[in-house]
Amino acid sequence: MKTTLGFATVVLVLLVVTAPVCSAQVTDVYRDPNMDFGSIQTVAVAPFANLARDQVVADRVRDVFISRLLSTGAVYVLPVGEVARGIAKLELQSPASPSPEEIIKLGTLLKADAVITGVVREYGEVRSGTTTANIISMSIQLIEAGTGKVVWSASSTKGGISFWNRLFGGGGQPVNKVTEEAVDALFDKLLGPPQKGR
Amino acid sequence: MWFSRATVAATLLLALLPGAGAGPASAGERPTRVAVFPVENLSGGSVPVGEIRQILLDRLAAAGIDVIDDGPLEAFMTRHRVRYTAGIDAPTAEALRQETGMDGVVFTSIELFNELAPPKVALTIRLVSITDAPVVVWADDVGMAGDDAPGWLALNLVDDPQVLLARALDRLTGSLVAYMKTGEAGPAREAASKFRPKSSYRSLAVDAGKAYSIAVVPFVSLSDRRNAGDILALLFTRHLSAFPQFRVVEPGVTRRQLLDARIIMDGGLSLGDADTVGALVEADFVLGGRVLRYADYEGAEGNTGVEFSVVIIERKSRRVVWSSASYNDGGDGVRFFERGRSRTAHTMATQMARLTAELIAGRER
Repeated sequence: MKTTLGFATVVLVLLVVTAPVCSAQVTDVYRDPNMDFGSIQTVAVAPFANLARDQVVADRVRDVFISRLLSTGAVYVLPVGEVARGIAKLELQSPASPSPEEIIKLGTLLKADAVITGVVREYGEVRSGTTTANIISMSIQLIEAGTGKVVWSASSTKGGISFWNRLFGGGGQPVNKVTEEAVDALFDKLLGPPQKGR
Repeated sequence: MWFSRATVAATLLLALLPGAGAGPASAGERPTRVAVFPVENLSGGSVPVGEIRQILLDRLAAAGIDVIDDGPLEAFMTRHRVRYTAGIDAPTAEALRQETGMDGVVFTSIELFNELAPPKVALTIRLVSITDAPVVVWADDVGMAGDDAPGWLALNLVDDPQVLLARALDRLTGSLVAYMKTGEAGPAREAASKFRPKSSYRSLAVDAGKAYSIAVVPFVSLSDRRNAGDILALLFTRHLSAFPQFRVVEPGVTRRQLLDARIIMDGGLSLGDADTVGALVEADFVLGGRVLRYADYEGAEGNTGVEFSVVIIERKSRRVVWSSASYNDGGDGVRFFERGRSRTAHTMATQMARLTAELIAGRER
């Protein structure tokens, strides 16, 4: 009897100690609580930074991102040529990571309410032993053009080698499919209900 | 009562049929006397362009088509210093009509000519009416590989590039002659649904029964393939002109205006460029895009891949009214015995462009 009570006490104490840690849910989404996202109607998507090996990866992901963002009907996206014209006119040295001042200038020039910047961190095939699969890892920032302030940020990683890939092989999903999933996951985070954060 | 409804339905069906054909039957008069311009080489390699043109001339002449002789055509080109022969601008077209009496021009573009066994060939032919402002009235394309249909024990394998080229030209000239004689577009070749755009946005307001003018500008090429941007623009010109609601501005006219206005679209089509081009060629819409991949291979083993994005800007509203992204690999959807494999990038690109054009025109499958 005494042993059972002692064990229950230990479990209870452990629960009490770990409960705050468990509830501190870390997410990869930042959303400015004071921002009125409904006011954003036109966005410019800046060229994505490319940390992958293939040089056209950033353009590939950007094109898919723009097309899918337009098809959601949530916002109007300026054509890439128009954004390129604005970047050339302002002579931005690093268009993939513009400063807040540059964002304000770009937004004013293009008449955009917000500018989206992004980074493709990983793209293509990953290998582990004899198993291969496609992976994409990217992050996106939505910056308000009026203030140059980041109002939303999220990242997404899809694909990679799963348990079933290791067990049965198969090579995972095609890289384009993985890209679509990663982009859709970002839209879920942007357009869906706010996620619980720390 | 039932009979009259059936008659109305049949009449409507017949009226819609020409628009569904492979060859365009859009606005513009059907030419009867044509000039065949030198063949444009977009392959990036060596191609027997003179031989291809001669075959084309022979087949058209054999079919009884009135074709201008080489002498007067060369004299005209020398007189007017025509150096660009892959298209025609409005002043040159008018001069050609007045001086030679021709009312149409045939342009041939060869995209791929690979002699290594199994050979591969891909080309596009378009007919431009010059009775008024130059407009594409018919276009067709073909992409073939020697091992497309090897058959039982590979008995149907084609090793001779000349045989493959002759087959490709037979198909295209047959289609062209049929159009010139009857004005009817040939039956549409089916495009597999796997080649649909992977994502698209459409906000095109197209009234039924009205023809809209559309200018196609060369795509920005980020691929390793030389001339990939021109190839994609050509394919969109070819497929959009198949729809009666679009009147496609002859690419030579658009090119001339781009040169005159000194427009260079390094980063893609901007609103200002679209506005300028649209105003100069009197187009309601301007279509452009980017090619990220256009991969062919030599020999028997390899993989093809095509990846591009398309944007259409409406001149009136200065807004994007179409945006799509398409990407496919040659092995997409291939399950058994290599059935359905695309052995040339053209085979895929033409179907991808076809299905994109269908969606642009508002035809949901």
